Amino acid sequence: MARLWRLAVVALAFLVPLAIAQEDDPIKEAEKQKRQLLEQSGVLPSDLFVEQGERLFKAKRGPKQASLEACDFGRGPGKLEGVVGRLPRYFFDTRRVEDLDSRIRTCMIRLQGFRPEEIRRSEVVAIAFYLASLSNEKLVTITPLMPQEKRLYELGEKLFYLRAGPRDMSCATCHVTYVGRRAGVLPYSDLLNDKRVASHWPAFRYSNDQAWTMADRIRACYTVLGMPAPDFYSEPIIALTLFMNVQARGGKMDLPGFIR
Amino acid sequence: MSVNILIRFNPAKPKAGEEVRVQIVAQHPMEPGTRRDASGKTIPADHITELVVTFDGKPIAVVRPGPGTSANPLFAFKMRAAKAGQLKVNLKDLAGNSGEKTADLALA
Repeated sequence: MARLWRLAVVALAFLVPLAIAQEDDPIKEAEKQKRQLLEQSGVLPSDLFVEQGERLFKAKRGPKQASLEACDFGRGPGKLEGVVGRLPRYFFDTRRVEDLDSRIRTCMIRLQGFRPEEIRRSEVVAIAFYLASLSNEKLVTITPLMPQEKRLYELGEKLFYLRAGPRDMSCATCHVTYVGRRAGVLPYSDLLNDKRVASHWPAFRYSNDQAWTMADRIRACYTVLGMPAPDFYSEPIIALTLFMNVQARGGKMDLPGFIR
Repeated sequence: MSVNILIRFNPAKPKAGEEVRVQIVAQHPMEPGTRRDASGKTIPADHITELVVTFDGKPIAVVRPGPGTSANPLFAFKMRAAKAGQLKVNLKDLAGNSGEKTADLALA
């Protein structure tokens, strides 16, 4: 009997490391979990945001009782397919470079007559999810051509590499230098080489139950770096979004993203 | 205001006679009537009281959620996809709002 036990222990000693080694790679494990979640669930939480956004987009709201259907996202009023892959870009009516969030805000102010302080972030996010669903599987085709876009691209690049704050870190510290490593269970995304990274925003983060646009992601990164986050719709956010989206040029968009 | 409803079939196009999972999500705050707002006042109860699912006019499921059901509830059930047809969901809540949504089930 004792011999049998010894045999069992020896067998276990060989088998356990094998089993651990198979589940060791956190990136593969995370991808497996995501695949399982997508297979099992029919309705995703992001579907609800898309539906909510579609209602908000098409409803006649605000002091002017207008819908957002006449809003120009860069392809002309009412043309919405694939617009997410072309933003941020320069708009002649506002004379500034705008990303998806700030363009939705602009249209809510100009078409619907809302005052800037009346605009609710949750509504902007829902509308962004709706527009994202219309750009799914389209290509990222953004190219900074206008001088204003080029200036903002350069600002974004500068901010991306700028080490500052109490931790003396930049975006590039994690997303260039530490690529391949991870924070908790999340591997750092390879922003400069992996085109999928910037092309899945806005996204639903299923571990945290959060519906985020790129602006939320950038603001959370600044909090991680110990720096005050730039305001929503502000120039630094648009500049960084422009820089990162250009890195994803040619990538096929997976929208709205479903990420960890 | 009408309540927003989402319906999904999994698999989306089942074979005839195959089991299909139907998922229904209603976008609803589902206030239980026990929560208080920031000033201490009780938020009045407002939850879905009845959800009726019919297939080509024939009732196939009735759900009566109570105050303990979560916000944006998901109801899922399995049914045999015998023939193609139209699934219809009707619901009512305590505030007097209702919702209706149809989805067409197609066979592969």
